[in-house]
Amino acid sequence: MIRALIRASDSLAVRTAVVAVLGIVVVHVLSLWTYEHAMERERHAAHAIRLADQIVALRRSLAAAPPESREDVAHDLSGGAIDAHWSREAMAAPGPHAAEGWQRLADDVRTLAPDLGPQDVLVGAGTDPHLSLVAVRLPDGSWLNARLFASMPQAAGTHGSVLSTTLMATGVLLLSLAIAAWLTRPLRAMARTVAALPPDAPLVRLPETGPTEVRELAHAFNGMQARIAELMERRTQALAAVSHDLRTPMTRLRFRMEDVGDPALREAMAADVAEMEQMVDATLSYLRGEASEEPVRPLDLVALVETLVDNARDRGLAADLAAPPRLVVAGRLVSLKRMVSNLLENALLYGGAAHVVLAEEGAEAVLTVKDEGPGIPQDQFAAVLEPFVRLDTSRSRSTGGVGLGLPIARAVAEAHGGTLTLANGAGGGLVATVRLPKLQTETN
Amino acid sequence: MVVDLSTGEYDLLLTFLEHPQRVLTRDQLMDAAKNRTATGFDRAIDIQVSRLRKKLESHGGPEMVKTVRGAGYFFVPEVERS
Repeated sequence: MIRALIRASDSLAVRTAVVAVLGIVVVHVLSLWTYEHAMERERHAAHAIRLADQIVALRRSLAAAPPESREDVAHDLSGGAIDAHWSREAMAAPGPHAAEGWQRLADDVRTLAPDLGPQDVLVGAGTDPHLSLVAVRLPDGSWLNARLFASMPQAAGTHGSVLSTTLMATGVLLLSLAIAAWLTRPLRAMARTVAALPPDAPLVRLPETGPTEVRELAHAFNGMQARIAELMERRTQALAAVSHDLRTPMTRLRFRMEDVGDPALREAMAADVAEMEQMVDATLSYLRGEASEEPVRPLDLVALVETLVDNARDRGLAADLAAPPRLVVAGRLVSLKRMVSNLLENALLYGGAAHVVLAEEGAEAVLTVKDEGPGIPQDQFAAVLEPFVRLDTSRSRSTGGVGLGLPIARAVAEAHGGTLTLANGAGGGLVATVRLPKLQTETN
Repeated sequence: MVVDLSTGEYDLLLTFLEHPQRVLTRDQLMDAAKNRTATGFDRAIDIQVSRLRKKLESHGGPEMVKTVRGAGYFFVPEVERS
């Protein structure tokens, strides 16, 4: 769960959305707080003025009423936040607890009734800050005593603002996700394009479109691709040139060998030269990718493998084949033949036998070549598929070869849109598996 | 459709194509194969023919190479030269 969240936050779109939402939330909360704060002060001020107004009106009414009915008038006019009484004495004494809010009330009252002196309005607060006693002197020296409740009108719509904030945040989240997805679309398209490139693809130019950054990235990618291709091309040409030039001295050597008197020596030399030629041929065919000039045609993989297996059996080697009557793929005959032959030769050379199975699996033709050798360590699978890699065990044996058999086989499989994988068989022995896309045959 | 043939099979097919709809004896076929199958036994040519037949007929086509008991083989289809 957490890991999934972390992985999701890796996405540029999600990050953008998070940044946008965070920004909006911070701004919104700040402005909401400022607004609420101002509103609160406004409400306090309005409440205080109203209280003061009411007190001054009470005082005026009491002053106008005859003394015997003053208490009744006071009682009648009480209500809301005010509970008023009339008496000869001031009931409130300015105390240390007089809250500042209540002190302001006294000022307001004095402002509304300028005839009141500083000693004519007394505010006393109890230990409860929400209650207060205010005593206001009437013109005849008696007092209006009012008990005040600090019952602030509740700020209405707190829930409403939370709801609207949530809605807004959700809206912004969705919107910013959509926008971020739109923004990163060129990037994702680019990643898809690059990932979809076939492994042996020649230069593929990415379209340099989209936002500036993506255009720059595409441009840089194209440039890098061109440089890599150029570098590889130069390397390949150099290696191919050397390999090719080796052929001439080898041919001369072959002629000069005729003059060697000792037939045993001559035969050994001939074998060495033949091996060298074979290596050069293998190298050249790997470097040139041999296949590229040959047209792709529908061909029967079964017939092809049969030929090679039959040839091996004619040579007295332990090869066998299990195959359906036919299995058609689109491919290049010479390179596919080289691929199968390489796998077969490897199995026969290192594994002593080649058990070949051809099968259809869904839309794929699957070729497996299993041998009876010791197999190879799991961690060497990747290595043996690299060109010019030979395992030490095979170097020390005089099996020959340059280490191009499997790399060529893999290159051919991949050039046909397939794969080559290695595995160690359950009962020992190496299993090489080639999967090629089957040709959907309509007619022959 | 490309069907891969070994050299021996190819030589055989060529011989059949040059003499269609005629019974070819094992000796004739062996001569045509230019002694490629060095063993010289009849069995070798039978194996080659069966391999060729399998490859040609695995594609759902009609029977192409018929065995004539005691004589040899017979290539059924008509051949047109162009």
